[in-house]
Amino acid sequence: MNEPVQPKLAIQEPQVLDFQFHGKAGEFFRIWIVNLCLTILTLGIYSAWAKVRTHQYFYGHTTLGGSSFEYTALPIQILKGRLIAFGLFILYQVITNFFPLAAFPIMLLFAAVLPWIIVRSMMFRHFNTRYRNIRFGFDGGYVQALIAYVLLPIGSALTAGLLYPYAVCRQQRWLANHSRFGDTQMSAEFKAGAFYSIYLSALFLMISTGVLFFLVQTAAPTLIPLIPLVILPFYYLVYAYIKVQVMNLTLNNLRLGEHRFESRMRTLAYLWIFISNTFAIVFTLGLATPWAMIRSANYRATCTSAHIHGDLDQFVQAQQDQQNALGEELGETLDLEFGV
Amino acid sequence: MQLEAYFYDGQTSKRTACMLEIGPSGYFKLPNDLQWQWQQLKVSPRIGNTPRFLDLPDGSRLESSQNDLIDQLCEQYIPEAHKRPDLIHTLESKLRYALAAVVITGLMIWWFMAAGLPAIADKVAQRLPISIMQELGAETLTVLDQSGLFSDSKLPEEQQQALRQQFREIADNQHSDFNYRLHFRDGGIMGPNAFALPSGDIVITDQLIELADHPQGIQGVLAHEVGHVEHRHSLRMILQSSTYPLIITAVTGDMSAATTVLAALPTLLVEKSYSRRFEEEADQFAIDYMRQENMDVKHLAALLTKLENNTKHGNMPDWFSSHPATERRVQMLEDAK
Repeated sequence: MNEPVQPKLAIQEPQVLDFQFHGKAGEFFRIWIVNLCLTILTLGIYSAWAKVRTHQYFYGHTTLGGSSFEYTALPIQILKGRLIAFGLFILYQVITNFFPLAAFPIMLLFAAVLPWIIVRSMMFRHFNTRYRNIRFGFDGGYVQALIAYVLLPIGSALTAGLLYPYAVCRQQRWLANHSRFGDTQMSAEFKAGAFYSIYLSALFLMISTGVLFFLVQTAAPTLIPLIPLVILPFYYLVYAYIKVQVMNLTLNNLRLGEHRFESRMRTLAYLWIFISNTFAIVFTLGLATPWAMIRSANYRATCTSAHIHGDLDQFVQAQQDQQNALGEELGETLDLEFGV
Repeated sequence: MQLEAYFYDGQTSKRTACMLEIGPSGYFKLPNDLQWQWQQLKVSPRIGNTPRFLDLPDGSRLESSQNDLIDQLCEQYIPEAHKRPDLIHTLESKLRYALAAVVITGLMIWWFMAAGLPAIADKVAQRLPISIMQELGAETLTVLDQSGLFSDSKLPEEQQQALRQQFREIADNQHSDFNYRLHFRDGGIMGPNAFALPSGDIVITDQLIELADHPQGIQGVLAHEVGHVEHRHSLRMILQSSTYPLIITAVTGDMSAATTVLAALPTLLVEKSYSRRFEEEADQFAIDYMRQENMDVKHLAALLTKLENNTKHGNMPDWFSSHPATERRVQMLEDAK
């Protein structure tokens, strides 16, 4: 805590504060392996504590302007949510394995419950995130979530993906516009066009590579066996491109009151981290996982900054009810990925 | 003692850097002039060198990175709660504990995959009602027939009758409630083959029957397939397979998205290894039956060897194959004599 308090600047000139990540792979490795070992020895019970400790490590080592983020969920809440989610997951596995015909009604049921899970999950996560002793909050509703996460994706499946970028746009907009820090609302004005241009570029990337493969196939058939070797990195490239562009677009359009954010992630840098992480994890039988997690968090923080008008002292706490962890744990068990 | 910290009142995000003077009985004064005692604080657990958060009863908070000093203050002022050092933090802070954790974790996962999981799956599978097995295989034969992979058997009716009779003897020898049925099919491109559906439906192709020099070879194959059903191998495979994605996720956590694609390979290897074990169990089942009926297992060994020469799938390494190498199976059969 030796950093000097930020000097006050003129109101018109925003000061740029960089997000910083101070986690160390060596330190986190010990936390990670102890988490994993105790989780196994307690038959999974400890996983709730492991999750909280991991989050606390990553939040605590992420700073903005010298203050740390804080994760405040209680392990026992997570454990309860996790047990229920795990039970439902097993039930689902068993039912769909034995009665494949039941898969469709279960899917319908799931589609109806999914928006609720997402809402609860966001509420829990935001409620348990603090910065400068001010809580984040989330107030999205069921209907908007249903449209963004269920109806639009179904619509995009029916239109051969035409609606997909719009669905992503609606999801990001919904997440941003219902988040707040203390009682200060976040907001984001996304144009669907920006999302369409990201996905069109990805499509162009795919088509041009398809053409390339075709040319290789006709011109130099001896190279055909090499194509699978190229497919995997290429698949990762498209994944990384979409992920990075959507993240940049989202953060660059995000407003918190009069403050705004900046994200400078780059596709190739992200791709390199992603691929090298993957290989490191697979070839060390998982032991490189903590190193990979630290690297990713580090890169993400390095590329993000906040443009602050005035100073960060003006946010006011909002009144909120305690949130339970069921939604979050359901979301996690079903491997959903969302969030700003 | 002096503690360097940030103070946040909890009403606004205002941050006040402060140097707290902790008095002899734990009293200290905050920048807002309120006085508290160390004993009233709720201190967040120590996790590496992550900053600590000290909760005050009025909702305000202190943030400080002076972890060692905070631990020392806790021991001093709240001795009853800090008699022993924080166990988890001790484990997390020493390299030797981390290495021990690596070894224990590795051994536990290996043991679980090699012994624990198969044993649990076996126990569970044997206790599930037989109706589940019937559900499991109900549609499969219809689907296979519709797929055009097979066509109707061209085997003469009397030969089918004889085989059915032998099959009935094997089936009646079992004490379970499976409803065993034998189906003859023309194997088409699949060639000589036999397989069992979990429901007790066993399919054998004309090509396999033609391949056999001695009827006892076919009886051995049929007993082998009945062994798969009796041991509930398909159900056990399902139970085992649905578990290891959970293990991979448990190990890699947030990074699981990155490894999904490459995790397919280890998953495949594990599945093949389970499958080889099931084949050995079924072979053992066939050996036991043939011995009991005074048959010669060499006929089964001979049929397996012919099958091997017939398919000529090259030399796939053992660990990549769903069946044990034929030489090993034949060896096992010969040892059984």
